[in-house]
Amino acid sequence: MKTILRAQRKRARKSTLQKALFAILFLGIIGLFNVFQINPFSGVSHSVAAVIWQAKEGTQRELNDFYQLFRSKQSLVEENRRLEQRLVDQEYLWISERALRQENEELKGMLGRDIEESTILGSVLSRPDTSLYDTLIIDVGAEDNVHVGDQVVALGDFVIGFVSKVFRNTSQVTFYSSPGVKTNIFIGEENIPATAEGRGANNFVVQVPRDVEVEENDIVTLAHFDTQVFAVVDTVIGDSADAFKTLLFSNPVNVFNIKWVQVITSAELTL
Amino acid sequence: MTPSRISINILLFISVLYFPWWLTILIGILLLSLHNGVELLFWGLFADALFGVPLESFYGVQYLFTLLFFILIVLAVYVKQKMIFYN
Repeated sequence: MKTILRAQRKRARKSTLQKALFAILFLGIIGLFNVFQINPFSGVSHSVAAVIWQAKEGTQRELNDFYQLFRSKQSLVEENRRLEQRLVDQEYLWISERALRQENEELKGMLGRDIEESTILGSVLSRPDTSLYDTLIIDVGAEDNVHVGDQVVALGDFVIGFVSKVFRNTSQVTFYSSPGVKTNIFIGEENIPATAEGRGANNFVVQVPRDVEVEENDIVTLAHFDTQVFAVVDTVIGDSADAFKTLLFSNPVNVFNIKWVQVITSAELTL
Repeated sequence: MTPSRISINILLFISVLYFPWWLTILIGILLLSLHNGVELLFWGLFADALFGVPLESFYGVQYLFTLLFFILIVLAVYVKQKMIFYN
């Protein structure tokens, strides 16, 4: 009886030791991968996931089209009228924006600085709430000439992040607002230089000297030649006793809802 | 592999791709409460392979899911040893 119990205890200890060794080995391998910033499973995982994400997008579109067949004529007519009115309203904005953009390009041309950008439209496959990392997955990758570091823009003019990893048909986008990411920016009409720190969910914080003139709703742009909107100042927090004041600003794009982004694959500055 | 284990694994796969991260973790805890759940490490590696990026706020660690699931597995082993329900 005692011999049996002793043997059982020995087996249990051996099993615990094996599990502990496995755990240490596993953690060691993960630690090595992390130190060298490699992930050998990324390529395969993205290939598998991309197929499923794209199938889902396609299925959703088909289901939406199918659903339209069951809508009443009246609701379709009303929606048509509503969309037509929205189109008319947007057209005025588009005309004035086009004029401003043209003027901007002419002025740059006069100063002898032309920038030619090429952009690729990418569909969002996975939004930031799916993971702990506050990243986006889009359906354009190396085959579409996307490179690490390319800027990513949403809704035409709002810079939201940069490409952090590129795979064959997909890319990962890290937001400038991801916690801890620091970005060089200019604030307001006087282009006050500063370094913004991301706080997650498209929010940023920056500290500037107390006597710097900044107001709420001032536009924040990236330290880049082209004037794409980075964020808008929401709150200015300061005390006359403090040497610095804190600015809180956010990017107006709702990254939890966007479906399309543009990747600026190259911005060639010609002097 | 029992049908319930297979179902939860399929759910985990879908969750990693589509559901919020906290739901993925809850499904992982469900797997651990009903089964051994070692395959959770695989799903952690899968999620980190898809989304992992070294952020300063996480001290440059890009294996957060894997480490979190590893801790959950260790905790589950410990808790199950102590609870009469699992003996």
